Amino acid sequence: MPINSPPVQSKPLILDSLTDPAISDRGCPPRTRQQIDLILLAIEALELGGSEAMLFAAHELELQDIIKNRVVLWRLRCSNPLRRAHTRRPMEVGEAKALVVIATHMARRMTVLIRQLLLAYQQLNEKQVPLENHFRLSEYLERFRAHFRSRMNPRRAKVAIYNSDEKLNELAISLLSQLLFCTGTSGMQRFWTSLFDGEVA
Amino acid sequence: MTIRRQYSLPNCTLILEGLSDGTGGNPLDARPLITILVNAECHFIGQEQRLSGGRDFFESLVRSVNRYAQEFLSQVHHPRLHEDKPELVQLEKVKEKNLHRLTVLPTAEAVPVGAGGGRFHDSISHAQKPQGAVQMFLTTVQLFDLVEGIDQFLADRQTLPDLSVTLQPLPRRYRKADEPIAKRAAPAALGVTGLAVAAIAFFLVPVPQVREPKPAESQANTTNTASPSPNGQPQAASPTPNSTATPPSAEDLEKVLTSTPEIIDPTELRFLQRKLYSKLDDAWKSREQVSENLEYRVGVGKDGGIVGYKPVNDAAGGDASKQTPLPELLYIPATGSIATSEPLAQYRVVFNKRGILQISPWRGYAGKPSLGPEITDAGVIRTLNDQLYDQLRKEWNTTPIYRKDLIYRVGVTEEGVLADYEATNQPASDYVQETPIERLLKPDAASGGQQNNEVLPQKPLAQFRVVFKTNGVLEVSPLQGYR
Repeated sequence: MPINSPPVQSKPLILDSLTDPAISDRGCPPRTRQQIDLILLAIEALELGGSEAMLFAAHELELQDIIKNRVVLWRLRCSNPLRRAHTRRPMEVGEAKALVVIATHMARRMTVLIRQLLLAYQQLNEKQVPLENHFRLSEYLERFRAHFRSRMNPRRAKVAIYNSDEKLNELAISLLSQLLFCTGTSGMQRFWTSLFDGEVA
Repeated sequence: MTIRRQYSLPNCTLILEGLSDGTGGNPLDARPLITILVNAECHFIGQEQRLSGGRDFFESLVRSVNRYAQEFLSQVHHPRLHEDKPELVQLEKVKEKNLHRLTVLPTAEAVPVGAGGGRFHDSISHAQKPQGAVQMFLTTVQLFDLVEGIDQFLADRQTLPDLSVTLQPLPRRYRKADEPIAKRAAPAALGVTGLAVAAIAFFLVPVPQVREPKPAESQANTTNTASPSPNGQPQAASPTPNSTATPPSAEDLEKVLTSTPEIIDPTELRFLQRKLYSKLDDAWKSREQVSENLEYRVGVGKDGGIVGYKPVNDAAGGDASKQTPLPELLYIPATGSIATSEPLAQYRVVFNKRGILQISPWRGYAGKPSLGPEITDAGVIRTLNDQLYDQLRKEWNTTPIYRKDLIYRVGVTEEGVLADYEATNQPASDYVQETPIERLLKPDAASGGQQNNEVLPQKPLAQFRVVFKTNGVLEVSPLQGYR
């Protein structure tokens, strides 16, 4: 990990481990922006004070030149077209990389928890026990639903399909599985590549 | 001598046995280089079956797992390209069960039998387990451990360095549309239907008649005679003699009000109400002339312009409207009739005989008005709070001349631009000129850069309570507290 690289680099070295996708100069496609924000939303649902931790992680990873403060972070996240507070501001590839690096960094620290929750989900499903019976899992799902509902614009068709607790739970679990994949050896690269599936020339 | 490499994950173990051909690396190395694979084995905790095979099996496993992992992450299906023979190892999603089916074909079957090979692959996803094949169901965590085992192998340059995969996104042309054709066609069909409906509707609309502007004198006469009769529809607006277009009459307003959509969203109503209030309050000069309460029903467009009004009580009829700022603020469209397409908000406006202006929505509020889209992130609010304080502090250096604290609600965009404010107490609205608020206000900042002149902020605002104290102290705090 090039985390300990000298800070004089104009562009953080860690971003070079992610390849530049063949997309237009107008920044990342909407699906990329949406996925990044949703994965961060899942992290927030897992960890109280998640957005503070993201800023801290940006500092740790020496990405503070890109993610300068919480306003910048918030604006980047509002480039997700599903948000109520959606802004038409583009997301540069460098900014997307920084967010992905932060997300995978945080996911790695929560590996144990993520695995536990997914195993619990599988077991509850097999035994057909309601998910509410698992305290930690239902806490995650509840928080995720609350975050999603308070921040996403229900008038968007893509948001309107998540109109029930079940559907939001499914989304939350799918994001949790994605977070699990982020924790792996090449998790960061795999997640990054998947963000541009079907979007490159 | 065979060399054994094991990659162990909690749910999956990958064991590779191979030989070193002795060309690369130091033979005394603790981890000699494996260049030839003899056997690969993979087994999962809780599964009886073990998967094993030679290089063909392992290469196929790496390829399939790599592709499936990306499919799983992106939820975009990757078509198999340039391959005429089926993969030895196949992975598929089992819908509704959150499981992944791993199928390993027996080696003999993997060799394509004539042209049937490709078709065979297609059918496999529907067919039951093909003869001789090994099949198992993996949970997501097991799948991840398999991916991770392979990624660890790929990262290990001492084991089969010639085997690698490239991670690259799927090009756009291979992406299948996410939705079935019926769903995709629906918007187009709706559009065509909409066009047809619009065509019929326009057919029914009468061709507008061009009205000659009436001479001003006769107009004045009619209004004078009309005013004392309470049963007739009094003329609401008396035009100034030099106006070229006729202002809309009360009948016009009535017509428009019944035919145009009405703004009922409480938030928007509230914003328009505030705008209307400040407009009328500013423009109402001759307050002492009003001897009786004058009550009007006023229609306001989305941009806050007054598009029509109608007296409600007898006193307000006739010339009385001249004592109010309504005629001069009336937006007169060039065609002489009310701009009909816009939705309207309606208010009861009372010019009180004591010189006080009162405005309320004609039909009341259908719900609790909000302050428009709001910034709720506590961190962002904290930053903006400090920014707003600095901005106001720098601009506010007059000595307070008022006796009571001035309290305002102030809305700030994410860039820290003051886009909206409202006086919370009476002194605050009386002494607003003593504060820097009006100077710093940029209502356009919240309109989202769109050219629709809407009053309602399009961009989210952070709301603060700002207090200018009599002793010169400035207080800024989030309206809702920190959440």
